[in-house]
This record gives sequence, structure tokens and C-alpha cells, in this order.
Amino acid sequence: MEKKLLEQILENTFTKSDLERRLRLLKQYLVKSLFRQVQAGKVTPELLNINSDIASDLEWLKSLPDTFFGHFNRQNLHELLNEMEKLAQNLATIVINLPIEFTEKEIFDIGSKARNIFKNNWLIDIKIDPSLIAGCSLVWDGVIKDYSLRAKIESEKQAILESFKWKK
Amino acid sequence: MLNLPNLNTDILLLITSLIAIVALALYLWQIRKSQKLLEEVEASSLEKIKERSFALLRKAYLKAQDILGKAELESVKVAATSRFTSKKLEEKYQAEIASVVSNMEASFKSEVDKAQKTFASYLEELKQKSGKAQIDSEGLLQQRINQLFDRFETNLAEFLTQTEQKTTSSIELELKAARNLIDTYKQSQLKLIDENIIAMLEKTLSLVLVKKLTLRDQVDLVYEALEKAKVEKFIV
Repeated sequence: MEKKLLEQILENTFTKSDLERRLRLLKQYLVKSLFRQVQAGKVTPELLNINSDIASDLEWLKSLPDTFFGHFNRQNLHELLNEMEKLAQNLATIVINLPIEFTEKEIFDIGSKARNIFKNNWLIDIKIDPSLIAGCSLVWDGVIKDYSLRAKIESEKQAILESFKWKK
Repeated sequence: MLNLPNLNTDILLLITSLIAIVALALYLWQIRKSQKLLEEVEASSLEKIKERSFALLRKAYLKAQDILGKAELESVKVAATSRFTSKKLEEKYQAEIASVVSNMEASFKSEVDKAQKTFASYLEELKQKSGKAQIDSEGLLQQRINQLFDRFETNLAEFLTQTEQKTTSSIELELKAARNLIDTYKQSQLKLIDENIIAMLEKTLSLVLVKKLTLRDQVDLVYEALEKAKVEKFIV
């Protein structure tokens, strides 16, 4: 069940930091919603005074169906969340080094594209490396592969230098 | 000088004396005997005995005189003979000695002459040999000096050639090392220049593309990288 719950979370969560943040947010929300006095009507994050720096997190929380929250109760809350955290830690991560900071939307698009390409619930981890100039480098399973403009220039270095030399 | 005649004379005298003594002893023995006879037959016929004894005495005396005379004669004869013989011997000896001396003188003289001649010839030979040896040694010395000078010349020439070769080769090595150093420096400088060119290019591109490339373009490049990673099976 934890796996299914996690998959549900992963539908709209692509980066490792997002996942960690959202799991924390979920925990906060669930603890407050399950252990406070139950009120009639839908319990919303605003009602529970939960704020997140990232607006999309709240949107995501609100977007989760009631059936999702129905799996949690006071007895199994911590157990489920711990299991989900463990599963989350074991998820494979593609590290993407970018030359500039992208917005949330671009990161969302990249994450979504990666899921489409690899057909897997892998996470992505974004890091910034300005020396890449353009493009990116990928790190997978401890191995780095550079697809950036910098690597391209490096590989075409001789040709570039030849083009600079005076031709007699 | 030999005492042979004297010795013979002494011997003769001795013999003579001995004979005289023997005679005297005989005489005295006879006298004693007669005395005894006298004493024994004293009672009987003293006169006869006395006559007999006197006759005996006389006989003995005569005999002794005879013996003495003979002894004297013999001694004289012997003395004369010995004197003659000794004289003869002396003369003969002196003659012998004179001849021996003269012979020895002659042979000594001849030997001395011979030795002198031999020595003179030896000296002459020695002189010739020393002269020859001197000439030979001078020649040898000259030869050795010439050889020494030749060897010295050869060694010096070799040494100079070797020194020249070593100097040339060390200079060439130095030049080669200097050239290598210059080439290495040139290569390192060129490499540095190339790296600087690339660094400048990268810096320029990073400054320019940040402004020129849109976020969408950047995202497209990331998509491209992800596609390539899938195709290359880098991410599986």
C-alpha cells in the first residue's frame, strides 16, 4: 500500500527535493488533521494553518483525492509515512547539472519528460554548474556523462583551434 | 839449515859412549867376578888367582882398549863420513835450493809476465767493452728518448682529439637539451595559448548564450540530452 500511495504522490512530483518536502508537508497535514478535533466539512490545509514556501506544494496537497487521505488513520499514520520515506530514499535519482537556474515549470517539464522517456518513477535532482554554458550533464549510478556545450567545445577543440590559426 | 850431520855425530857419540859404558860395565863385572873368584878361592891359590885375575884384567883392559880404539875409529869414521855426507847433502841441498829458487824465480817471473800480459789484455778488453757499452747505452738512451717523444706526441694527439670530441659532444648535448627545452617551452606556451583560447571562447559563449538562449531553448537541450542518454543506454 505504501508503494501505491507513493506512486500517487510521484505522479506530480519529479524532483527529490520536491518529494522530501511534500512528504514532510503531508506528514504535517496528516498529523494535524488526524489528531485535532474533527470538524464537519473538508479539512483544508489553510484551515490547519499549514503554509509552504512553495505554492505548488499546497496546490498539490489540495489536488490529492480524499481516497488518498482515507488510507491514513491515527494508528497507521507514522508507520505508513516511515515506510513511504524509506521507499522514497531508495528511489533511483538522475542528477541533472544545469548551467542556469530553471523555474518550477521548466523543472516540472523536464521531470515529466524524463518519466516519459524512461518509463520509470525515477526522480531527478537538479544542480547548477554555470561552466556547462548550455545543455546539461547527467549523473547516473555514480557515472557522469556530459552533454553540455562545454563538452562539445572540448571534443571539437582541435578543429576550433585550427579554425583560429592563420592559413598560409 | 838441516842438522843431519850433527845428529849423526851425536848418535855415533852416543853409541860410542854406550859401548864404552858397556865395556866398562863388563870390565867392572869382570872385576867383581874376579874378586869373587879371589874371595872364593882365597884360601887356595891366591897368586894363581891373582895372576889369572891380572891376566884377565889385562885381557879385559886390552879388549877394552881395543874396543875403545875401534869405537874411536868407528866414531871418527862415522864422524868423517857424516861430516862428508852432511857436507855433500848440504851442498846438494844448497844446489837444489838454488836451482829450485832459480826455477821458482823464473817461473814466478814468467807467471808474473803472463799475468801482467793477461791483465793488460783484460784491461784492454774491458776498455773496448766499456767503450762499446757506452756507445750502445747512448744509442739505447737516444732510442728510448725518441720512443718516449713519439709516444708522448701520439698520446697528446689522442688526448686532444678525445677532448675535442668530448667537448663537441657535450656542446651538442647542451645545444640539444637547450633546443628540447625551447621546444618544450614553446609547446607548453602554445598549449597554454590554446587553453586560453578555449577558455575565452567558453567564457564568451557563457556570457552571450545566457542572454541569447531562452529558457525554452535550454529545456530543449536538456530534452535532447535525456534522449541521447536513452539511446546510448547510459541510463537504463
